[in-house]
Amino acid sequence: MNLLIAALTLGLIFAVLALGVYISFKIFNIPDITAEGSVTLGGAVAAALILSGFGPVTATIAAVFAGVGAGFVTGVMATKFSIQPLLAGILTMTALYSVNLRVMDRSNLPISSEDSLTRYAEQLGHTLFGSAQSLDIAGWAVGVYDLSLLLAMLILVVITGVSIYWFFQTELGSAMRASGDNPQMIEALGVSAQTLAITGLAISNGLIALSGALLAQYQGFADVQMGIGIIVLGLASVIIGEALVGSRSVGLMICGAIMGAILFRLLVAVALRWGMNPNDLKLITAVFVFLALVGPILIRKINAPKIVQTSEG
Amino acid sequence: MGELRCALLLSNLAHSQLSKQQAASDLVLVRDSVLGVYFLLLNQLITRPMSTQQSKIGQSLVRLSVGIIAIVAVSSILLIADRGARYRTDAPQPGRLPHVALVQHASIEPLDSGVKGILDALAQRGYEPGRSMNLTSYNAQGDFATANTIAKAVVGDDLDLIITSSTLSLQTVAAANRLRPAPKNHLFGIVTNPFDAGVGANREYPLQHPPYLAGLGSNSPVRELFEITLKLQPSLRTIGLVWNPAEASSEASTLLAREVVKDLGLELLEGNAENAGGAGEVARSLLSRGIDVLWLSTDVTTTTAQAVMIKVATQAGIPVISSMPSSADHGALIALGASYYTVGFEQGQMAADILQGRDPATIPIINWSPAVLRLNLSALDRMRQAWVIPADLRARAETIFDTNGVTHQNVPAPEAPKALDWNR
Repeated sequence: MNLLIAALTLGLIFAVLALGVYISFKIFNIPDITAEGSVTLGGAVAAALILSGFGPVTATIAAVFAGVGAGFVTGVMATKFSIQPLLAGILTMTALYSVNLRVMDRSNLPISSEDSLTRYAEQLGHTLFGSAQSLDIAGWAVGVYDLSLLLAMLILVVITGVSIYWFFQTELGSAMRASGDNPQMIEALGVSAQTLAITGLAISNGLIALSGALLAQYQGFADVQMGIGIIVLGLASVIIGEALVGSRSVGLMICGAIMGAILFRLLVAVALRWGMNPNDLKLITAVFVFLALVGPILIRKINAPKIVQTSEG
Repeated sequence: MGELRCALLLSNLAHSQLSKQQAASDLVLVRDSVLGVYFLLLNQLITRPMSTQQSKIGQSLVRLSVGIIAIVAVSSILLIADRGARYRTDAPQPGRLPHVALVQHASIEPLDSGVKGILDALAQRGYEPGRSMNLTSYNAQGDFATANTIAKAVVGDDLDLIITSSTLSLQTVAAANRLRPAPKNHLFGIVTNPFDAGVGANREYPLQHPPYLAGLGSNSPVRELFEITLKLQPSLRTIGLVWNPAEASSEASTLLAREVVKDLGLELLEGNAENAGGAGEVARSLLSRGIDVLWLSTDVTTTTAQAVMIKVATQAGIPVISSMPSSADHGALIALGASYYTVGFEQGQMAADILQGRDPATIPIINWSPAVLRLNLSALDRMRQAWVIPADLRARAETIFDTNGVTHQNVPAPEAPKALDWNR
């Protein structure tokens, strides 16, 4: 039960990341590698500010703005300087490596003894469940702290998801979606596709940095290597999400990305719980993603002959 | 078709639930649940084509249901696999084997040797995995999200002891353990600097630490290595170092080295490499800037590239000294470093102590670096300066490589500090 709650909480933290990746990857068709740097940037900025005495809320908001800045740099490089978006992302990611070391001043910043957002979650838990340390849920003893973290993350992800949905219904958001699909058309309508792309990447990396800030506070430290391989996780979540909902409408894709991130962490937890050889873990996760990808395709293929027959008849 | 398969699997599921006597049925149950869920999922996809009358919202809900079903299903699998933890009493049952979890962050040489040492020591004390101890091993393979999942899994499990290997495993497990109503006993090792890891260890007061947490810090013997080198070559002035600032343990080594060179009146010329590919290039630049020896620290990144770095230094006639014993195998003149196997072995002894009843609160958290010395004299004649290796240093070496081949010497393993002894 504890493992389930941990997997769900981590899934929700990475859902924020997946939402950021969704914006760059699906709306603007850019696989934005800046994510690897901006997730660490978010964690680094939040940890450094918390350690120097700022409140956790201020630190987290500052982390988001740092991510926005990183996305802005990638966006400007990709549009104003016409650098290949993939290369622009790699450049920013490389630069962020040094920036992150500068921000933290060392490679690993522990914040578990400091005041962080997790304490607010704990307070929320105590208002809801009283002063008990653990609850009995269907026989499992569940820590109130773990439960309240999960609840707080759920609330945060719902707010983020709804805000993004709302944003893409506004004029600016609709223009963004259109510019990702057809930049020529949006330019013809007198809107700068470049400005839209820069804004989009900034929002995307702001979300990714938020996810990094949350992860650092959840695990109790920021580490300069915590972003390694994170883009794969984000892309996998978005792709699994798309396969799950089978639609490209914004609302469904947002839900899909969230569910994809949660499902991904759950599957890793199952692999761990089954005590599979730890050296095979990465292979097993790759197989999980593969199954999620080919499952729907296989099914459509199996069903295809039937459809042909009925159309002929 | 899909329904049929579903029904078949669900009946299987019910059946395996009935035959609970065998331990193997657990696996069957879990396997069938997975297959059942997978077919349920596919079934959903088959029946997806919608009638046009359905409202848009209804359609969206149906589309979302696939994901929700999948999440609920995988969650249930996790719960089924975890059902042993229900209604658990913390009172030890007679005849129950001790449950131990072993957590490491990645598969790198120091951690692997440490873990080997732990298991050997436990076996020596009569704790054999599967026979006299239930052991679960976890390895996050360097992935932070997985490391956090592992940490939550072990602190929630029915365990007598959690053993961690590496600084990051210490941090993730300690953070998860700290807030539990009843924290699990946690023993850490292969940690360069536990005092700055934010886990509550105190350098000045070794016994001041969380009562459930104990372990060993192992700073590499940098001072001794530099002193030996200076004794061999009194004209020594500049030591070159290539390191990756992103590695916490490497950073700790560098900070220590900066202090040591100040005390010895030497100079440390540093170059940064952020990946193994660039390390050789950085070493070359240091050599051209004029260094007397090249030092390889406990940096994992540069250790990967040590063969290249030793080669370019030897070609330039500059000897290599190293804090990783394995460097001598590649041609480093003096390699003096912590034997991670010995650290792990001591950690395993401490684990056995705790399993036999020692309270972790009584174990001091101290630094202990059992040094092992290896020499490689095969490239001595190519050095720019003359290096003479005295007999007493040769006698101390565990392994000596020279032009005639390899000599292994029987050097007694360093003894653990008295403070750690208990009931042995």
